[in-house]
Amino acid sequence: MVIRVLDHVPHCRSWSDGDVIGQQIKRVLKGHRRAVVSFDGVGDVPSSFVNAAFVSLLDDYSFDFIKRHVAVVDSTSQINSLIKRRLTSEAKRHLLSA
Amino acid sequence: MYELIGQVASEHLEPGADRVQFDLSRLGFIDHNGTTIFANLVEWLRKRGVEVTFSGCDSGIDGVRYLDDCQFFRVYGDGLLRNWAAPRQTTMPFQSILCAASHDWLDNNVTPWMARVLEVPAASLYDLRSCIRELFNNIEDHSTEQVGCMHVQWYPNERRIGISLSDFGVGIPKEMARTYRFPDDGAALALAVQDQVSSKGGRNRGTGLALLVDNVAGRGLGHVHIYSLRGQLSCAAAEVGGTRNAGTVPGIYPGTLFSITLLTDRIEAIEDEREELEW
Repeated sequence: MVIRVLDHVPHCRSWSDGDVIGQQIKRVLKGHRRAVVSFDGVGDVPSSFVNAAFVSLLDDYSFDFIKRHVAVVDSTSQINSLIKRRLTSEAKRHLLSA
Repeated sequence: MYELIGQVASEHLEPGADRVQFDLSRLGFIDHNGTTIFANLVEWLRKRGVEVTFSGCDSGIDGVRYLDDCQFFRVYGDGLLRNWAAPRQTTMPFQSILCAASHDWLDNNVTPWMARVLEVPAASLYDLRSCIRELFNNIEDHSTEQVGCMHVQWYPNERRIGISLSDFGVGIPKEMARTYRFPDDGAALALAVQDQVSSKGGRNRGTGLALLVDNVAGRGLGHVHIYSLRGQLSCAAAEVGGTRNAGTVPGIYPGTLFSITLLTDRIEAIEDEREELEW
């Protein structure tokens, strides 16, 4: 199931924008499908967007599950490295606090 | 800047008078930081009901002429000093960052201008732009004064771009004090730029400042200086990691000032090539 972010939000600039995308991802995952997130038309995103869209998934799913069921396409190196950095860091923190 | 601020605001960050007149007759030079600070100061005073006027506005003075070209007197004075005053090719004049259009301005004005100056594709600036965008969000989340602006200046002879971004508000040390203890405001700033350190209440989760320092100083692309309340933090460029020096200052900055220096020779040309995320 492809979620093209700009079909759901006018831009990817804030936590609120990310929250909309995060909810879309969760909706797909709850339907036992793989979420493919497309950043077609988006050059960069701030960390608060990534926190809302992706890091919030750790509240319900493990990092391993996210890696298997969430794909990111049509993206840039800035977006991808930020998603990886934030998820890796927060997943580690989740483990330490468990 | 502390002396200027100290003359118009008390230690408890209240205006010192009902009327303030800024004498610009000796303003031989003002840089991007000074412009941002001055604009913020005028906004802050006026929002508190202080009558602000300017004297010595002689366009023959270099600093005054610079402000005029930045449209300062059109925004804060009685109009342009010279009706042909216009932003210079080396300047992206100050813009409020607490308005809905600030992100559009960053995307549609600042980015193409910087890309042109640096002679790189816009994608080369995505990391920096992401960090600046997060600073906008932080200011919107934390600023109590709703005063904030950004100003960019290219210094071609010095091969650098200066980006100044500031708000007047609570200040990072005070925000951090909700959650952490530290010996002074400089230490608060040093703590704030560490990954996953955050004051309560924001949605940043404590990454924004760390990313700014990592992306600019950590990669050797430039320097980041942060001034907030009685603290200051310098993050100098290095090939790996960068050096950081924190300390206190003999004054108070009523909010936070980010001064980012980009070394134009070090910005790599990166194309907007789409890719999949590889976990």
